[in-house]
Amino acid sequence: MSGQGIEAIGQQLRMVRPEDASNIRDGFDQVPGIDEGSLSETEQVGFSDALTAAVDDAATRGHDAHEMMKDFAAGRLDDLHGTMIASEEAGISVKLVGSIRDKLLDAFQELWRINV
Amino acid sequence: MSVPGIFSALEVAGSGLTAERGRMNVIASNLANARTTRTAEGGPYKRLDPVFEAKSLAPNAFDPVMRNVHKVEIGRVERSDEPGQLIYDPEHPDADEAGYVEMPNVNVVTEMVNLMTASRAYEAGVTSIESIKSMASAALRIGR
Repeated sequence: MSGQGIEAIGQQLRMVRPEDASNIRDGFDQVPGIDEGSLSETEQVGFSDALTAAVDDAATRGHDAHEMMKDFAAGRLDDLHGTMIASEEAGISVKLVGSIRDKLLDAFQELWRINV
Repeated sequence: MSVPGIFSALEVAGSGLTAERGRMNVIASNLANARTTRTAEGGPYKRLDPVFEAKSLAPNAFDPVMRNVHKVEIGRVERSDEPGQLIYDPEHPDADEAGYVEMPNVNVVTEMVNLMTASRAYEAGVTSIESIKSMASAALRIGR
């Protein structure tokens, strides 16, 4: 294609008639997966549900670790490595939630940058 | 945790640490009572030996690997009934008519060797926990 390629495509786009545009839309409707009706209820678990579950899991682990540390400090518990493992699990869970959130924000920013 | 994963590996390693700590307690008991001649059951102290048992982590797991992963726990503590050394000490309140006292059947050198084994096994468990941790951190770095 010559240097005028982009302009040529622009010309072609301008020549698309409204009825052609509706044909294109019909084509999209036939793509499987885009039609929301084809998804069952279980498949429609939202991203926010998954994120909330992850946050809840991390919060529970954090709470458990905190309780264990309190008990250990108060002398009610003698399980040194159990306490450390619980706090490490909590730390890993929180880091996982953090990286999921970072990914989500990245995706959102990416969508935000799309020129409409 | 319902789904076995990185935390179940920590659980297995943690059970190893708990078992080794239990062994450490038993060895400490043997060493502390190496010269004890009176016990609640009567007679000298007898050396104790913990028996480790494998316990399946997730017997009903779908994953064949996870089905075969086992935690460890101290099943029972065995008491050795070997006779202890007889020491001639007529002044001792627990001496028999002939003047001999039965000492516990604890061999301090053996106990020290067991102590070192337990402490090294504990360190090995901690090392495996550290490497599980660094695997988790490495997995989290994928998302960065």
